[in-house]
Amino acid sequence: MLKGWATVWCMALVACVPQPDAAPTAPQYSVQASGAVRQYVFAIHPLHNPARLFAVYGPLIDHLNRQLPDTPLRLEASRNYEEFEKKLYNRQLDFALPNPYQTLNALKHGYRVIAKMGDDQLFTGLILVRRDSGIAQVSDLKGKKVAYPASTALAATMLPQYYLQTHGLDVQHDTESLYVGSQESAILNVYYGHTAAGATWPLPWREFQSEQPDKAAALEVKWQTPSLINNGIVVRNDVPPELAEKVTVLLTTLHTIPEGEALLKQLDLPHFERANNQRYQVIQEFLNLFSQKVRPLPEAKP
Amino acid sequence: MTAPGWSLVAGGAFKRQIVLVFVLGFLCLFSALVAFLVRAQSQSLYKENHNAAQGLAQSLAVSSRAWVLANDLVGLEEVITSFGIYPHLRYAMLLSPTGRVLAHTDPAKIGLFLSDASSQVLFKPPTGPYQTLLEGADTIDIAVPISLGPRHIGWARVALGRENIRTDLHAMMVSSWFFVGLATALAFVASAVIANRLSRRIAALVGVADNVRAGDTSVRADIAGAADEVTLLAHSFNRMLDTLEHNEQALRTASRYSRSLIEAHLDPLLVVGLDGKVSDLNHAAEVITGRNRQSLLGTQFANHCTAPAQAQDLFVQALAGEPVTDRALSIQHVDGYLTHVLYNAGIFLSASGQVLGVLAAARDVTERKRLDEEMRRYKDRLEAEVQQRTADLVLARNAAEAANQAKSAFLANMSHELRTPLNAVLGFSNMMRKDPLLPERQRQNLDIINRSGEHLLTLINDVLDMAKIEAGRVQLQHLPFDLGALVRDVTDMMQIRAQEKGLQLLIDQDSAFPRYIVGDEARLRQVLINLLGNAVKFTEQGGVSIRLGTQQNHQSHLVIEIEDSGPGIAAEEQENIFLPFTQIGEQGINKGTGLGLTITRQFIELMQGKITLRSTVGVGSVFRIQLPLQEASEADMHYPEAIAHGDVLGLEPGQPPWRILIVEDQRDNQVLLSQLLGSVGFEWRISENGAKGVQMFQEWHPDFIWMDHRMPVMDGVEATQRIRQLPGGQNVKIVAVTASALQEQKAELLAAGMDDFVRKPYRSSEIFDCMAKHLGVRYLYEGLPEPEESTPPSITPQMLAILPEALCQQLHTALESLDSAAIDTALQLVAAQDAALGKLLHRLVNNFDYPAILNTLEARAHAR
Repeated sequence: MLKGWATVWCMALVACVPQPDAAPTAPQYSVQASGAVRQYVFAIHPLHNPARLFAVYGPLIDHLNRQLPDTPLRLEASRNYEEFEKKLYNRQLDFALPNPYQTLNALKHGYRVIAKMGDDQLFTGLILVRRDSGIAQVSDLKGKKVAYPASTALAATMLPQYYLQTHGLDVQHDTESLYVGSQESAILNVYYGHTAAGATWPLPWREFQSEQPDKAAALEVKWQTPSLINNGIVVRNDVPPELAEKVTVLLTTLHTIPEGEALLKQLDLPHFERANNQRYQVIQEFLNLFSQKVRPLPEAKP
Repeated sequence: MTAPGWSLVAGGAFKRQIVLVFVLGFLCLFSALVAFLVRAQSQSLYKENHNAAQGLAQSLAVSSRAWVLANDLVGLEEVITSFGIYPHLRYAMLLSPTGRVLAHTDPAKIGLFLSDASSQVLFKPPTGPYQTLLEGADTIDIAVPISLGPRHIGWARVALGRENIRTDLHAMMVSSWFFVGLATALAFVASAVIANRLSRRIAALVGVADNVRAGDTSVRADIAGAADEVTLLAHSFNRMLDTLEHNEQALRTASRYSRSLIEAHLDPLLVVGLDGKVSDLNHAAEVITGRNRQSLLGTQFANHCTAPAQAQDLFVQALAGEPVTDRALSIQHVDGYLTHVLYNAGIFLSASGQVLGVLAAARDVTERKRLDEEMRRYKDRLEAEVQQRTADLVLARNAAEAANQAKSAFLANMSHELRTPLNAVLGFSNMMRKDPLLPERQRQNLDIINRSGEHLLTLINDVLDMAKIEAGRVQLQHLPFDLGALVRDVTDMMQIRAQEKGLQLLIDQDSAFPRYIVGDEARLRQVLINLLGNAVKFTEQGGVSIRLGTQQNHQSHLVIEIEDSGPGIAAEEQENIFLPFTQIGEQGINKGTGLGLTITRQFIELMQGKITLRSTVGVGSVFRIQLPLQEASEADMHYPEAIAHGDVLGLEPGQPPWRILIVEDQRDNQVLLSQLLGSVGFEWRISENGAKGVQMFQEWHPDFIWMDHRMPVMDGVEATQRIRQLPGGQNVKIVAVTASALQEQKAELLAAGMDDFVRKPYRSSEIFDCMAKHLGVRYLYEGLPEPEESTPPSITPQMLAILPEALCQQLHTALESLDSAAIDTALQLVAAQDAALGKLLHRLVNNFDYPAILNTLEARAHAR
C-alpha cells in the first residue's frame, strides 16, 4: 500500500522535471536547390530606396511573371549606384533598368538595349533651393554646397552640373559637390540646410511632393536643365532572345491594356517604347561635352 | 535520553504514527512544492527563451530586409555577423523564399540550399508571424518571414541553445531537494520529541488506571508540566475517579440497605440457582426451616418442602419464565412441624439477559389458613341461619302479598259496588234533565243530584287512584296529545267556576309553550283540574292565574304555575298538604277527600317531574309544576272522530231494525239502559245474567250485546266466550259495561272476545257513540252545536216576553252602561229563567250586538 503510493508519488514528481531532447536536429544543406526553376534577375537602378523600389516596381514584375510562368523574373534592388553598377558591369543581372549613362556603359559589358522609358521630356535635371534661401541666380551658389545623388547620375547630377557650369559657375571650384547616395537624400539635404541647393530629376521630385508635401512646400525648383534621352532597358546577351523579345513586347504594349495603364500610372510614365543601342549615342556625345567642360568621368569597369 | 532515532520511536504504535505522519507529511508537502516550483520555473525559463529566440529572429528580419531587397550579400553578412555575438546562439541565417542561404553565421553555408525535412515549411509562403521549426529541451529554432507589405522576400532563422536553462534547473532542483531533506529531518526530530513527551504523560495516566483496576482507588494522576490537553485529561480522569469512589460508597450503602431490607423481611426469601440449589436466603428462611444459613446454602430447594416433586415442578415452571403466583406449599421445620406458605417465584436475569436462577418468596399463611377454616365454619352456620330467615321472610312476604291482593280486590269490589248504583243515579238524573216538561226548579234539584253524583264519583276515583298508586299499579300513558286543547278545556271548565265566585282566571301562555306533547293526557288533565280547582275553591277574592311556559336546562321542561290570591298556606303546613287525607282550613261538604294534592304529586313524580309550593299566608300560593318535555308534532296526533253533535233524538230513517241485548243483573241499570235505547228506537231485550244472555243470543240473534262484567250465575267474560263459540257468535258485537276502574281489566275483557268496553257510570252519549262505532248506526241529533255561526242569531220581542220586567230593566241598564260584569250577571239571571234564551243572548253579547238586544227590549216595552 505505502510502496504503491510512494511509486505513484515519485512518478508524479519526475513528470514535473523537463527531460533533454533525445536527438537534437540541425538543418541540412545541399549545393543545389531541389527542383528549383531558373530565375532571371530584373534589377532597377536606385531610382528609390529598396523598399520604395519594390513597392513601385514589384507590381510590374508580378505582371510580367504572370505572363511568363516558365521563366520567372526576380526584382532586385541595390543599396546604391555603385553597388548597382558593380552588379551590372559584373554581368550579374539578366535584365536591368539603368540610367542612360549606365545604359551606355552596359553596352560595353555585353548588354543590349531592348526598350526605354517613354517621354524623354521627363529626363531633365532640377536644381532645388529653399524658398527662404535668398538664392536668385546661379552665381549665388558660389562658395556653397550642392547635393547630388551620385556622381554618375545623369539626369540628377551630370545635367545639373553641366547646367551650372554653362551658367557661370565653375562647379569644381566654385561649389562643393556632395554625392549623398539617393534622390531623396539630395532633396532632404537642401530642406535641412546642409546644402544651399540640391539636384534631382522630375520623377523623384513628384514623389517627394506627394509623400512629404509640407517639406516640399519649403523648397522650390530654381532651375530646370534641358532634357536628354530617358532610361533604357537592357538585357544580357546570353539571355535567350525569345525571352528578351517576350519581355520587350510585354513592356512596350503595356499602355494598351487597362492593367498596364494602371501599372504605368504607378511608375508615373506614359509608356515604354522599343529602343536600340544606337539611340544612346546621344549620351556619349553629352558625356564628351560634360567631361570636357565639367569634370572627367570615371571609366566603367569591365 | 538517547539520541532521536528509530530506537526512540520504537516504543509504541502511537509514537510511530505521530513520527510517520509528521515525516511523511513534510516530505509529501515539500516534494510537491519543489516539483511545482521547478516545473513553474522551467516553463517560465523556456517561455522566456522562446520569446528571446522569436525576438532575435524578428530583429534579424527587420535589420536585414533592405539588404534582402537589394540582394546585398555583403550587407547581409554584416548584419549576421552583428547577431553572432548573441549568447547561446547556435546559428542565424537569412534565406531566400527558395531556401537559398543568403547569409549565415557560418560563412561556409552561404549560397547553399536547405534540404532537411523540417526546413521544408520555409519553401512555402508564411502562415503566421513566425514559424517554430524546433523547440526542445536543448534547442529552439525559429524562423520569421521577411516581408515587404504582402510580398514575402525571405526568412530570418535563428537557433538558440538551451543548455544553460537545463543547468539552471538542475541546480535549482539540487538545492530544493536539499531543503526538502533538511525539513524532513527537522520534522522527524520534532515529532519524535513531541511523541515521546505525549507518550510519557499518557503512560502516567495508564499507570493510574492500572492501580485503580488493581483496587487502589485512592491513587490520582499527577501530570507535571504546563497545562495542556493531557493535564486536562488527567484532571477529568481524577474527577471521574472521585465520582467512581463516591458511587461505590453509595452502592455499598445501598447494598447494605437492601440486604437489611431482605433480612428484615418476615417472608422467607430464597435465591435458587439453575441447579435447583439454594444460593442465598434471608433470616426468615432460617426461621421457617429451623436451620442456619450455612447448612441451607447449597442444599436442594425442593427437599425442604413436604412435596418435593411439586416444589421442583414449580421451580422448573418459574425457570421457564411462566408466572408462579400464590401456589400453596408446605415447608418442613427440622423439629417436624409444617409451615403452610404461598409460594411466588420468578426468574432473575443477568445484565445481558441470561437467566441466572429463580427468586422465590414464601408467605406464611398457616395462621390465615386456620382463620379461613374458622371463617368457613362461621359461614356455614350463617348460611343456615340465612336460609331459615329467608324462608320466614318468604312466608311473611307471601302473607303481605296476599293482604295486598286482598286490599286490591277489596278496592276493586268497592269501586264496583259503589259505581254500579252511582251509574243509575247519574244516568236517571241525566235522563230526567232531558225531560222538557221538567220544571226549572226541579231541574236545578236534579243538577244538584247530578253534581253530587259526579263529586261522589270523583271521590271514588281519588280513593281508587290512591290505592293504585300505593299498589304501584299505575300505568302511565305515553301518547301524543293536544296540550293546548287540554289546557283550554280545563281553563274553560274552571272559568265557569271562577265566574260563579266572581274571580278572575288569567291565562298567561308563553309563545314557546308547545301545543303537542307526548305523555299521559288523562293524568295531566287530572293534575291541572286538581290544582286549578283547589285554587278556585280556596280563593274568595282576587283571582287565579295559570302561567304556561318551558324551561331549557339539560333537558326541556314544561313549567306550569298556578297562582292564586287565596288565604295562603303557613310554612309549617306546606309539607303536610301533600300528605294523604290532609286538608287545610275548615272541613265541609264537598271539600274532598284530602287526596287531591297527594295524587297530584304522585302523578307528577311518576311523570319524572316535580311540584313545588311557594306560599305566604294572606297573600296567596303558587304551585309550580315541572315536567320533562317531549314534544310531538301535529302529524302524530290521532284525533278521535269528533262527535260534534247534540243529544240523540232518534234513529235516522232507512236503517234496519237494530236488536240490542242487555245482559245486566242490576235492575236499576237494566231500566236505565233499556230506557236509553228504547227512547231512540232500538229494539231491546234484557237478560239478568250471562247464562240467560247466552240463551237469549241463541233465540233472538241480537246485533249488539251490552254485557255486564260481574253477574251471578255466569259473568260477562264467560258468557262472551260462550257466545263467540256459537254459530253467528263471531259476528255479534259485544261491549262490556263494567263498574271496575282498573285499567288492566280492559285487557282481560278484550282477551275474552269483547269488542270494546264502557265504564260505569256512563253518559248516554258514550252508549250511543259506542254503538255508532261498532254497528254503524246513524242518529238524528237535537241540533248541531253552534260552531261559531256566521249568521247572527235573531231575537224577537216575543222571546223576551217571559222575562220579568225588573230583569229586562237590569239587562237594559247593564247593556247601556257597557259593564261586562253587570251584563254577565243579568245574562245569568236570564239563563236561570230560560236557558235557551240565556244562550241566545249570550251569543249576541259575545258578538257585541248590544243594539239588537236593546232594540228588542225597547220593542217589548212598547208592545206592552
